[in-house]
Amino acid sequence: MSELEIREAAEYKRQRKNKIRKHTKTLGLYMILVVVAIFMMYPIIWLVGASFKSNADIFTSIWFMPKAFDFAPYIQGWKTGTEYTMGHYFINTFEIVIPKVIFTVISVTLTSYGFARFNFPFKKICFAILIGTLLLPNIILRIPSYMMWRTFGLLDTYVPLVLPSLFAVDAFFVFMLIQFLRSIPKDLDESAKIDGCSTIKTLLYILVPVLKPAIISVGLFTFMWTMNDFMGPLIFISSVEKYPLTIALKMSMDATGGAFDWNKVIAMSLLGLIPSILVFFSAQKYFIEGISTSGIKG
Amino acid sequence: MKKTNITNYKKESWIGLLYITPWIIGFLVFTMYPIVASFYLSFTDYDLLNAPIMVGIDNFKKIFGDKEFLKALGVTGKYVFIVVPLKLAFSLFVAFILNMSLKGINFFRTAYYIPSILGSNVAIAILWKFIFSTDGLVNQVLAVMNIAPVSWFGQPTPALFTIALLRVWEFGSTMVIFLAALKEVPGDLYEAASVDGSNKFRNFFNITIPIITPVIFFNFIMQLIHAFQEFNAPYLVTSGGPMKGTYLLPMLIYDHTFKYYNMGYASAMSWILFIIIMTFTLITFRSSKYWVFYNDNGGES
Amino acid sequence: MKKVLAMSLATCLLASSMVGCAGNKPDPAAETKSAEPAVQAEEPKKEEAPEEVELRISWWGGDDRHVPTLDAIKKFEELNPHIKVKSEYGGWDGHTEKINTQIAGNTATDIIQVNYDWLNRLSREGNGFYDLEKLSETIKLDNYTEGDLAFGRRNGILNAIPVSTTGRSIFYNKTTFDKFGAALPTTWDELLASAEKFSEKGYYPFDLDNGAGFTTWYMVLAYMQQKTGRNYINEDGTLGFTEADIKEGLEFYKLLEDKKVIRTVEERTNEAGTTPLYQTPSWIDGRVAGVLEWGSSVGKYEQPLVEKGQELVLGELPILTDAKMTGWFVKPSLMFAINKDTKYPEESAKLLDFLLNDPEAAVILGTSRGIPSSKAAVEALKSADMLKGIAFDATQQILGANPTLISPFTENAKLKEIYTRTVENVSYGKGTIEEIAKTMHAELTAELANLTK
Repeated sequence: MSELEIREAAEYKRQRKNKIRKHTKTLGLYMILVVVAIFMMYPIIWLVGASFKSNADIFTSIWFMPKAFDFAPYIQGWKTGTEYTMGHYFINTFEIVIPKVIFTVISVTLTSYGFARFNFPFKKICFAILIGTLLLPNIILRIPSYMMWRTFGLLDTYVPLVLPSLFAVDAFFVFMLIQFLRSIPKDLDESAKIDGCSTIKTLLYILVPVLKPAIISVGLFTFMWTMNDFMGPLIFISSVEKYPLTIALKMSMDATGGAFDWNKVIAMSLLGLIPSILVFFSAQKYFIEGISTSGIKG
Repeated sequence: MKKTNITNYKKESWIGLLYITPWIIGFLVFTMYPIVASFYLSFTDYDLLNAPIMVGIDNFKKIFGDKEFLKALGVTGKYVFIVVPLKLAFSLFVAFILNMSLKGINFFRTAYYIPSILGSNVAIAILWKFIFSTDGLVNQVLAVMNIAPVSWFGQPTPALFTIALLRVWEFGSTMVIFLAALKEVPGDLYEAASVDGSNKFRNFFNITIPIITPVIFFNFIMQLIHAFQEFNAPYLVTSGGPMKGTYLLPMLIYDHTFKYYNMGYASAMSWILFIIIMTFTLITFRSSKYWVFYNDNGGES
Repeated sequence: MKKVLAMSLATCLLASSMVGCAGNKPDPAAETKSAEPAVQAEEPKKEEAPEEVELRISWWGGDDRHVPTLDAIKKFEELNPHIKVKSEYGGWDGHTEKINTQIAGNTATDIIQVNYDWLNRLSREGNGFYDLEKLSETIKLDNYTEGDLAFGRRNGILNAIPVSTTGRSIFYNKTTFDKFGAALPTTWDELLASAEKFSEKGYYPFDLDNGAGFTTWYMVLAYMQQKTGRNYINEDGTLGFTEADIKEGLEFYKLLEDKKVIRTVEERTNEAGTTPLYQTPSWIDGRVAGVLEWGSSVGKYEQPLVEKGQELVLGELPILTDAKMTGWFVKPSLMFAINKDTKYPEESAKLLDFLLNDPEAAVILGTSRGIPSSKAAVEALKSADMLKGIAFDATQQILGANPTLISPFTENAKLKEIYTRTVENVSYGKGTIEEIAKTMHAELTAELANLTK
């Protein structure tokens, strides 16, 4: 064998090795992804199992498999011990969640655009106040807000839960979008301005498409956090008829009294998770689309 | 911004104000009153039953001699110190991986978000106990590795750690924000880099991280604030025990409001907490000019 | 600086408005107004009853309480077509927050289910709720013993009526005791010696749940009341126990730990954080075989054992041979009160009487709020043969034992916190028992003084 041939063979070997290494790397990556995914998903798998178990089995076994499948917990849980079925509470929840998501997305986008792209008097103070509203523990604000809404005469309605979101009160999201906007080159909207776009058009046609993943996350978070909100409705809503799911789920749980069936509670809480999971799963395609290919030039 | 002339600036300033009008109204009508009310209440004795009685700065004086407050403050500090870096690092790392275009990545993204969807679901408290109890999962794994079992819930520091882990495990929202930020990183930057032959991890540190610093900054601030205000996790899993080892400040504030009915005192504690969080937030903001790179030509916020 | 100025200005404005909010002026209109549209839609508009009335009632509980209560209320509405009842009920979680917010905002319901220790806070002088004796023509108070009613009196004024009384009893997992061939303890000494037969590691004859139920302190309390003949808390709200009593009581607790009758706090906490005992594998699998629990809520301990084919039995109350008093105690498990600002006291009283004393309602409600105190209700349940089971036996046992009525201060949140902390300190060995007892005595004295001042 000539030296050249040896070198070629070695080169070939190296390439093959690289290919194999690359494959094993991907395989390894998948294995890690799967193992971690099990850790992340196990609770929900366990929950599904637990909805078919007896109390004793729920509290003694980490293994998800129930001894038998009996859908009675779902049927009874759906009926609830109240005057209404779970379906009623689901509808109530959506009556709160859907407007809130829409309101939040719109108001937060506008406000953050104002903060991120314009200069105006007292901007620094406004921004400081915006962040400042995040810093007090919610617990302490509950009773004063109750008093406030009582004065407005709007207790036991969804107004206290929904209306404020029309006014971008959720500083978390405003701050978030400001940060996202600020990582987008300003030349982008400058050039739009030169093309004669008004500011609102610049926002809608130039920035919103770029911001899509962030805006989708705002909607997503609002959806899921409102679905999970317990304390807000608990305090503002007093009619059982108007309770959302979170409260309805806990209606059968009485730590001070006798026994109750956990499987029913778990079964219903599982149903309560489905909307969030579906929404997340369908929303995430927007993260992938992203703008990575649309090519923003600096 | 320097390009714009003065007339433009004046015009723009009104436009800017117009855009944030919803927020200004929202703040004045909905947000301000409860905040100012709690400020006022912090100078009163208020038992939720009788009208608040003005007591001047008594509450604040009392706080600094209150052993429970100081202890809770220490525990809270420790908790923040553990949870914030862990959660940020973990969610950024996972976001980086989930940003790859692998087959089935959609599934993994949803799977990894599930803990966050669960929130404070009843199941979490139950499962966390299976994992960390005396002969729980973790201790069994330790036994295999010949490590003595840890008294996870039985001793203050490990118990605090289990709480922190619960929150790290619910890293989904932070991860999603990172993911959204990663999506904003222009693809051609990577293309250029791959021509240069730099590898993925180096790209990550040299290209990705600087571009998403505004979002890292955001997540850092928000995690800091959330950690200081943590209530649900210890409430669910440990109720603040053992020996008050997981008794965070917001729990103390809660107890003073709804258990001991000292809302005035609880408000005063909240405002102290406010000042503490504000201090940390301010420091972070000040430091941001050294490590956060904005792309808007320094448009100020 | 400007901000500070603006803040203080706003504060001044606020000071006046807040006082307005929290004042004692009745303002139930604010809440009912907003609730009306929804309710009116359901109302039959046919007859023109002039005194059409809407009452609001609130309670907490589980399904086993909601369903019969709603049924009973429906029955009441049938019997009293001019009264419409709006039920505001929920689980225990968050209920205290809700009630307290409503009370702070003067929007509480007309009829309120209250916990024993709430009375002290909400009606220290006896004027926090409606004086029920003013309504005694409607509410048949002769169904109750003066002792029962005493629970609901503040300053001599009848603020609330106990629905049922309950006491702590001892329950054993008979299956586990049989497994070791051990006899169920009947005296304190037998209890102390009970671990001897429990030869297998990880098995304990008894458990005192420190986190959820403050059981430890109740056990100590019963033991020391027997021993000293002194009440833990006197009627006037002062501390009855001396420092030496507390020390001896805590030593008794420590002895239970040392003799392996119960687990240490660390062992128990380590198993499951602060999950109540009845949700832990140790209890459900029968590894800890005894518990001290309110008779009215023993069901949740019994249910998982039954599911696992085990048997929970009522044990005997241990009483010292030279006991100076029974030491065991009862409290009202739940009470009903009427809002002092109610617009419809007569109608509220009518509903309350129906729920408490009406034989028909009693049968519908069963034992969903414990074994009723009302004579009429008990009679009705007896003739319907609805009084049986371990909860009933426990109530009979404790009521027959000449129990002490526990002070409403006993369950004050701040005191509970002291019990928990003290027991933790003893169990974790943070200081000598003498020091711990001294601290506890000082803290209890101070807190009780604060509560009664």
